[in-house]
Amino acid sequence: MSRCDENTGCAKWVAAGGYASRVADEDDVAEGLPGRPLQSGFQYEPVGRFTELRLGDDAERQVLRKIDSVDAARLRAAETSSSTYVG
Amino acid sequence: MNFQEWTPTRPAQVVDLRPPGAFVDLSRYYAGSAPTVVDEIIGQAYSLGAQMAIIEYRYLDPDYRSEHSRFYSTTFRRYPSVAHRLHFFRDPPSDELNDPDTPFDFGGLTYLGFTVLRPLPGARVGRTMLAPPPDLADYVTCQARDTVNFFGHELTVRAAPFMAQDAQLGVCAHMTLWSSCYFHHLAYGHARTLPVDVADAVPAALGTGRPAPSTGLKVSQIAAGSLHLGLPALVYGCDDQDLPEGETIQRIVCRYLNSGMPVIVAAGGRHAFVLVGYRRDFAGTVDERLRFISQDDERGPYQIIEDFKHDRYGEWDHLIVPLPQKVFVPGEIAEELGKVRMRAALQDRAATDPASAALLQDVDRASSRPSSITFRSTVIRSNLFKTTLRQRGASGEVATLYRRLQMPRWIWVVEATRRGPRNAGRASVVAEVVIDATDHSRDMRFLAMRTPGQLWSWLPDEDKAAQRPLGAERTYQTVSRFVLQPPLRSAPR
Repeated sequence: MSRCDENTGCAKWVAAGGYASRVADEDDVAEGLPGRPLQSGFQYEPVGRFTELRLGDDAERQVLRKIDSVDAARLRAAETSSSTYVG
Repeated sequence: MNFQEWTPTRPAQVVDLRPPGAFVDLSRYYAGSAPTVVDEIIGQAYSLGAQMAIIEYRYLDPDYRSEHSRFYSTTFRRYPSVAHRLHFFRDPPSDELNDPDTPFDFGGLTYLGFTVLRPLPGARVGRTMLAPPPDLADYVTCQARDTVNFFGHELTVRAAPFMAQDAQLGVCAHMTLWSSCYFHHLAYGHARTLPVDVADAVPAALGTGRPAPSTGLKVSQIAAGSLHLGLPALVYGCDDQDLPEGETIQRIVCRYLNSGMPVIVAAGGRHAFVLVGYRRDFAGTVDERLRFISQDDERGPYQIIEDFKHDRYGEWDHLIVPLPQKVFVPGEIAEELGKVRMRAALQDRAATDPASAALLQDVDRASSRPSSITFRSTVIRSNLFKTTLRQRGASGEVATLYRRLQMPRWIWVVEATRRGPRNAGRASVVAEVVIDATDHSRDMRFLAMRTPGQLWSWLPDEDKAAQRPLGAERTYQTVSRFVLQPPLRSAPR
């Protein structure tokens, strides 16, 4: 069995049956199911562990403000669309 | 035109378009009482280099048949139930073509498209699929392939659908829905929609006119019709104060056109037409001009709108964007989320990764410099996003990782692009965020994100994420060149 550095996110390489199969997590194998899992190449962890994925308050507000703005625009369009004729 | 003469017993007529006067003769034959669109289509065929037209008689056109069965079969004046279909070829007529004893391969000819001609002198032009004029071919982003069976030979054309109103069962507003639906049918496998389906889908009770003859539709009826036809529409008011914050008409329209989604415009309180492409001239200079390309049923296909702020029909009132049902997330929200997410990831790595720091600086420095970053958001089928990765410039590693991610049918791809190469139609994408087009509007995540040196994946069902280090990637071509199959010849710009 050979492994590459898990800290880099690189998957483990497992020699099996004369050829190498790539698994992200050895526990991620369904019991009793024939075959080998096709791995994604990613090792997943709960989102809360990644500080990089936390948005700051300003960024959160920026997205919410956009959503509100789009909703408001939709309402304004609904008001005027029933009075505009074409054709 | 005489009722009896409309359907000769011979199957077709070969017209040599090369002699002087051939254009006028053909136009005059079909002009009827509304010649503008007939002239425009035959003129465009000439500009494509057509040397031969073949008139297919007794053509059973499903669209005209639906108009006939609903309306024209009910009038005192009789109208034939069959149409003519006029096919255009770049090749000249040949003697073999007229010889029934000699096998002739129509498939070996250069096909430019067709127009169905109704036996209605006041509304001649029916379903039309004519290749775009050469100078616009690279700018029509909503082109779909259509295949016709012509005397046992399959002929294919790539075009934006067009049909002129018959002015009885359907007016311009109906035609905008028909052409949007026919495009979605050809490009994305949406159910085929006939004019009578459009007429039935529009709720007559919401208007004040009679359904037939139609006197026009309200924008809300167009939107309701689009909904009933399986393409729920987003509707935007065009006044500056009616647009979402930070948006302009150009940005909204180009976002959907880049995604291969036609945009309906209601203008001046009197006319509707469909935008199918745009051309940006003198990009990045003070003389930059954006010209939209429209299917205008009163004028013809591929009409250039020189200045949309001074449109011939008046100010634009509303944009109506029919979208596949599973595109829940509007483009402007996807883009905002993508920008914010990408910026946060870059900021986090800026201290340790020079490439991320440099990109962050370019993102924050809004300018017209060629190296500055501008965002482009495209809604695309995830299958196409995955299959075209290598063509777009992704390494084998990134292509493999992206391809193994599970995605919904439609995704938004928010790309960070370099302005200079983008304006020149070259590879320009340095990072992207992939967003689920069905995501919850109040709890939106991303599915994947690539920034310099890393690729992120987020499993929405388990709320787990993973990050994978990457080597240096080349600059990619934008996905908006690949929203349709086959891809456009060049990226929209």
